[in-house]
Amino acid sequence: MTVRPTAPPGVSLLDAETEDLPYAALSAELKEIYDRAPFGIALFDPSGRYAKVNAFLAVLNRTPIEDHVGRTPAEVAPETAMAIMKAVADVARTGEKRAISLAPQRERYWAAEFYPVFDGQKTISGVGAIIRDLTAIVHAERVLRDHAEFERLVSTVSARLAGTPAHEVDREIESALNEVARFLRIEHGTLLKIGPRDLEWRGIGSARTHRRIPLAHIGWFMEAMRKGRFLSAASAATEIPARAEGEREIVSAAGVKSFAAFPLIVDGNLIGAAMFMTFERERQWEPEIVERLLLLSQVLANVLDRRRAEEELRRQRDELLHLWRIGTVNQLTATIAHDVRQPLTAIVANAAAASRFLALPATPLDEVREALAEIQRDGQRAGEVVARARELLGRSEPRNVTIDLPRLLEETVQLAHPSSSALGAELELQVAGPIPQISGDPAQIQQVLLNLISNASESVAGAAGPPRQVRVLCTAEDGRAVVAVADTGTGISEGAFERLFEPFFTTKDRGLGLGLPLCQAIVERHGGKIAAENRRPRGAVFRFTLPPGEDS
Amino acid sequence: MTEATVYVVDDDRSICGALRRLLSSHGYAVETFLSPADFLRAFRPPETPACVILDVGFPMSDGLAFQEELGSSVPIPIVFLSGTSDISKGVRAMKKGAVDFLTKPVAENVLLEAVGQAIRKDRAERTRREWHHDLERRWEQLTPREKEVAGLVVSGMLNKQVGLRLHVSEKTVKVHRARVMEKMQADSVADLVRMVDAVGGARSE
Repeated sequence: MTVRPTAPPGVSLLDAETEDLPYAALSAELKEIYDRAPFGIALFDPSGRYAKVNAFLAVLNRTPIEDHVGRTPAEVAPETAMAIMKAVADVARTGEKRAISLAPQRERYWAAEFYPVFDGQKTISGVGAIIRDLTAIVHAERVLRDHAEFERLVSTVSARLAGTPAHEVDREIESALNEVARFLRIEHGTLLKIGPRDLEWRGIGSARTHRRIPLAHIGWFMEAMRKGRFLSAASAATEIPARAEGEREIVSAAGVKSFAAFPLIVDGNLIGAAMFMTFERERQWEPEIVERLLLLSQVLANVLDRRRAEEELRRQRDELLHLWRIGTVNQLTATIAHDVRQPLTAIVANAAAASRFLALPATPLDEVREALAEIQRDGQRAGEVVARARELLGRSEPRNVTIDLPRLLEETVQLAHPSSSALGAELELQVAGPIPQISGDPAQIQQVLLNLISNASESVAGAAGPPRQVRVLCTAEDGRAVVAVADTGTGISEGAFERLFEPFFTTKDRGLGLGLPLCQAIVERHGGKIAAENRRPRGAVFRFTLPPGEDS
Repeated sequence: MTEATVYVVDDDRSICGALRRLLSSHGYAVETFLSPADFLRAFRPPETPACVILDVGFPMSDGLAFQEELGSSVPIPIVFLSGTSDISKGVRAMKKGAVDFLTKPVAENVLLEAVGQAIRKDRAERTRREWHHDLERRWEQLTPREKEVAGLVVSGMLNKQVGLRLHVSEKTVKVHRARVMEKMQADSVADLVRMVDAVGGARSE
């Protein structure tokens, strides 16, 4: 609101008594405004001295009204004098309005508007000024900006946590909490893990010891957390109720002055709490701060939940792999048992024959010699089977070593040969060109291959007629090793195609249907991919890639 | 012991050689084959009692299918030898009439016992076949009238009744009957009944 008082001709505004003015009735209202305005009103003479000020401005300048009159801003409000006097001079000279904002004084922000006051003859007889306190507005703006920045911070933190692998999540959360704490000017933030019986709390700073606090000791705290309520105390020493003895003891032992704790709840389960504390000074927990910390807690709860889900998934995959290994082990055991029984049968029969020959009156020594030689050969054969068995059954922990893939494939194909031939399949290996070395667990890769060969052989056995081929091909593509098992069998039906790698899906009447999903799990664990395709005129091919090892 | 032949069918050369050695040390003639197909190709009905020791692990022409195939041309007793402990296969094999189902590695006495049993079975069967063959030959020696009489006698009719039926005298019946008994070499009517049964029942109208 600008006030442009104009005096009737002959009357100068500089007359002190406004009551003299004929527009007294109107001016009473103006006077009201003038006296009660929540902003400063001033009138300067052209030389820049105060002619009139209202009560607000007087309070602002901490100088009584009468002490303003006739003085310059330099004498009354020295901090802002320069800007004001310049503006006044400008207006007096040019007759144009001016608006300025004043540099913050004592954390208060000001804006002032200056305008010329004309007497009847269009001469500038003074400069009026409206001075407004912008502190509240600036403050509000700052709050908004802060809020936006906080949300950006939470976004960034959240994105970072989303990309964190499960085993590093705890550390990242701690660092995120501290980052936020710093931003909000809180001394410290930490994650409390709540288990079935106790709460885990890492000490702070130099006292970085793990503390396990039985939940029974902190009943008051836990009740609030379980109910999803946040707890805060500006003064921990006085605000924790007397009955919460455990909490009081812990807080005083740790030297906590103020704290705020936010429950982290997912799916109705309390999985932890975000705890903010100060040790040097007590502090209030303003509603905006609390609001922000609640927002953060939600983000953290989601991250923890996601981590839990990932770990569950990994556990299930490991279990599945374990089940398959056991199944495979059973199968392998049967195969190995069979392979050992063959030489043993010959050994037993040859030994019995030799005994009988020796009991004859005319022992045919040549026959005995032959029998013994065969026994030796077959004994060795049995030994080889056992040795291969140990290699195949492998360890419980997956190894990570450099693998010479062509050699591994050769050994595996040799191993698979008897069972493939038994099914009538012609098994062949082709290696094309130099193959990059890969890293991984040879036993697991071997299992994948044996599984694929076994499937291919069975498919080929069920085919209408020849050819009955199963070919293992190894090539390099884009620096990765590619292994393909191609057969001329019955191919993959359309319905089965989609579900090939689905656990427990099987088209056979025996078996768990775990083979292919586990091949996929193994291949993917090694950083590769597996896929299947039908072939023309008949058959299917399963192809998997493996990335080069660390040294390549 | 009279000669007997054992056929060994197993894809493992070592096992073939060892079993040959062992069985021949017990006086058997042994022939080995690496697959059922090989065996069927080379097989000629043997002069001596025989049996087959067959490894169950063959796919395609599966051991059990082989059993059936073999049974249709010449029924030689089969002893199965298995490298796996698949019980269902064993049960099926036994139901189809295998002499025994043995698992590898097989002890000497167990093997010889099963082979002995199989050879005895084959010998008995051969004897029965010969006897049957003989009977048929004898039957063919009977005149049509004699065959008629034989058929009625074994049905339990007295000579008089036979005579009435055939419109001949009792005496004539007795003569025919005597000839039948002689040609068939039957010691008694009961004997004759068995023989006529074996040959295919009464062939009179």
